[in-house]
Amino acid sequence: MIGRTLRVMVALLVLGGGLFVGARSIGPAPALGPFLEPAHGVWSLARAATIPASAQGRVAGLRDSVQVVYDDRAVPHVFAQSEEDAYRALGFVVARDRLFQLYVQTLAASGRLTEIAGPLTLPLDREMRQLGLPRAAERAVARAADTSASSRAVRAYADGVNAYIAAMPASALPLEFRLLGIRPPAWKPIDTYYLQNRMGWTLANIANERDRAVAAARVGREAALALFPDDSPIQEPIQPNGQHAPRLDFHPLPPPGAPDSASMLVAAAADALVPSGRFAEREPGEPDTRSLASNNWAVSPSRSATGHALLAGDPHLDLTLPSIWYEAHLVVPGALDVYGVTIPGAPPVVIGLNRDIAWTFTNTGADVMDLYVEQVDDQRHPTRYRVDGAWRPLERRVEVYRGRRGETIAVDTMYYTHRGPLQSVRGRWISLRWTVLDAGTEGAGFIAASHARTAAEFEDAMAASWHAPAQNMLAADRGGHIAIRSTGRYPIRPGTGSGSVLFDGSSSASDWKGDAPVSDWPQGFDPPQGYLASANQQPIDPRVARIWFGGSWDPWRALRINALLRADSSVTVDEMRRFQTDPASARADLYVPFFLRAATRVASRGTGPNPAVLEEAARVLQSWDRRYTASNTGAVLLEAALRETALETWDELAEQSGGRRATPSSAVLLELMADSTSAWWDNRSTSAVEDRDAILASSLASAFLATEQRYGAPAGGGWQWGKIRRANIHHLLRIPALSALELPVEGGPGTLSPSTGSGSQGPSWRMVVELGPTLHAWATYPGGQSGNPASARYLDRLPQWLAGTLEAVHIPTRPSELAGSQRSATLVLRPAR
Amino acid sequence: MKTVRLLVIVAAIVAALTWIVGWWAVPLVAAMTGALLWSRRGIAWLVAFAAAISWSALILVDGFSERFGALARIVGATLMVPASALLAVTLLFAALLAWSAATLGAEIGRVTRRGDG
Repeated sequence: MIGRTLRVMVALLVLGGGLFVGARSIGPAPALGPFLEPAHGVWSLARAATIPASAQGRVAGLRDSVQVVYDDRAVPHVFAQSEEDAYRALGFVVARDRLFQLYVQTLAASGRLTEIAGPLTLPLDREMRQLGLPRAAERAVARAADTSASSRAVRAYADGVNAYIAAMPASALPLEFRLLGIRPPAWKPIDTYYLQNRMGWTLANIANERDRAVAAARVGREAALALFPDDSPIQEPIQPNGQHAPRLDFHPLPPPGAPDSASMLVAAAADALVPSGRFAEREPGEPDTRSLASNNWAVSPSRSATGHALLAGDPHLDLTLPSIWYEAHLVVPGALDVYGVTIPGAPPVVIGLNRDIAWTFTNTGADVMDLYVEQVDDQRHPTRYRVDGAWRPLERRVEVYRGRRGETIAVDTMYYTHRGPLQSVRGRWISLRWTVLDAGTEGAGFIAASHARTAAEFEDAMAASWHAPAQNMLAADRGGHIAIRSTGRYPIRPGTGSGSVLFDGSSSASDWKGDAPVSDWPQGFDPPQGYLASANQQPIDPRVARIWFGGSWDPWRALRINALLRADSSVTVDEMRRFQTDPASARADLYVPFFLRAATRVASRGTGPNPAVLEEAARVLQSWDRRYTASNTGAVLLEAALRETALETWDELAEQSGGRRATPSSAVLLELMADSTSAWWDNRSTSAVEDRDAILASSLASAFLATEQRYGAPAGGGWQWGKIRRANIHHLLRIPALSALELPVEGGPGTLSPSTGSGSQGPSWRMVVELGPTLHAWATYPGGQSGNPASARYLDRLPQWLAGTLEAVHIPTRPSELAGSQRSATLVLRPAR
Repeated sequence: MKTVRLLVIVAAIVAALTWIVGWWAVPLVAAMTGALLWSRRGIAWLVAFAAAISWSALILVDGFSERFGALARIVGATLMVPASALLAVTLLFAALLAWSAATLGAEIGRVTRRGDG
């Protein structure tokens, strides 16, 4: 009797517990019932890991059947009878491969990550909403004409995504949804606009303004302006300036001055706008951590081996799994034939080619975010703000952040002036004007540009619709023309034209006065030099610029690619590919001689660091070929020495309380090299007065000892760059098992394939196009087409990306042009009954 | 022989209903089987074994997929357990649900039968 009672009690406990853990998620663990259940649970994902060789589907809104042929690279070729049908089908196939990515990117872009992650992600969500990005997307949707091609494309794409969600077999529910215990919601057209704005934020630039303000608070405005200049001291601009070599525009840097405490308000405003610590990526003393960058270049027929124009592009963005890009081909006979990469969630091909042209972008990086000090009627609960003596009502918007079960996590009240979002910073109310918040027609630009027949047509189509973020848009065509234009909206500001000030919001005279005309934008069309190149350098020589750009420019990759293109009058497709991963460094070429000369001079002085250490360090640096190959052992020493030099040189900028610090770029440090006795060289913590060579020698010796301590003797193998510098491609949820981590890479700060910081940013897509009578293209990206981690297509392109090789892409005009061996699957979509 | 036949029948029902209604099928079928066959010695263990067999068979259907191994490794690594442990947990989960539900079902059957008598 007791035994039976005990058995029943145990059974009750086991059943209760089993039902509980089966039905409810506990902490991060999913509900075990639906997760483990073998028919439709996680195990069934193996079924969905491979796209069936043949499948059919129905999509509401389709006018005709659409045939989708997946090639042997898992790229869908969509053959439709109308453009809208093509975008419907694209939405379907993107959802089929990347459903979770669509979902989580939308949450991130609309400031709703707390709905899956709880309070942990509240700062990220607040950042999105306080910047006014979701509101801007809503306004863009409201402004968009229902009949415009881009609106129709966005709606058609949403139809396709939703058709897939409705038809998706239970076994195909992506792993991440299962782990989170949620189902995918319907896709809405506004989600596309959220993503577009998010990209605008990714590519925004306010860092230079913020760093300059932080520096001004320490060493005064004049010095800060020299340390964080509007114009790069190394000029190799995107718009050819007729020179055949870089122009070094070096000036003596003014010495540290008296602190300008008022500048802290600008820095605080920038920090308030960016609460997630975007600036923190730059480590103290790290002058070149920039890796959100990009390269593109094109060669005229006169300088190509085949006599055809060549184009190459590799945007450097966040490296994620699945990739930020999804490769696709859309064909509508007689109307559209466009191939390239799309951003999952947005219908147009962003970078790619049609039958006549190819195009690619780099980020211009212009500062188009301005700050205004506003006068409000109530410091705590404002309702109005004053402009030209008259009160205007503030727009009020309540932002509610919800948790996983819909509970309210936080509530913010946001205010908006006619300029943009308003925030309280150090007792002042600061509003933000930003071109991205007024954008919304960029999709139309892509769609129009995908029909362009010449490079010039492409540039004009983009100029008509593209506002933000400004991009260096490079195009080449079959006619042998090459063109580049830094396309975007550049506001005309009052006063000096600079946006690097706090404007007086109480006067309408502070407002933007319009936009710079297209003729003032940096651009080049079929230049005599026979090539065009951009790599986030200053877009136009300041001697001829008519626009204030105010960005922070990175000259190193531009120096290298221009040197390669100048030296080669018969460029081949394979060279274009090799240039993309070229491990040489213009930065190392310029810096290493300074260190070597300093080591020799200081050694002869008989002062400074241990002569044996200095000699050995100089020997290592001297023997290095200055290439950031995986096997080199000199790069680690140069990087450490540069870091040490920056720390010692810019010691005046150090925060005493451990706060954020601004470190001038390595281009400015090089500018300082020309002035060997500048006051900046002196390390204030020593009694001696150091000059350039003393700092360089001591930095080199210190770096050598630190590197030796960390990695062993130079000859021991521990200094190999490939063992130290790694790429890290994180899954969107940063789950290590779904990520590709600690990947050995070639390249370093300033090389064409850069690798810096955490290694989680880099070339997200590499493409080379030959524009002969028939276009040929080669491409790859780090990842794969499928978002299913169990799929063979999840990471299949990684080996090529790591090796710097590209795959030839198929560009069939009709399904029958893809041979059987080139096909991996077909899908026929029909109109819903 | 009767035991084997019963085992197969229960396993088949669990598998079919799991396919149709999901994991709830396990405790439902187990409880009903326990209630109906309450007098059979070891019925709860038999049902537990049948549930494990049925889920094993369902997993085996996907096990023939070329990507099953990769999936098991990835899911296991995501949850920070070996793939084999995850597989074991899956079967154990079904078996425990079945055993407990069948035990309670049998007890209900016994009590109900006594009341009838």
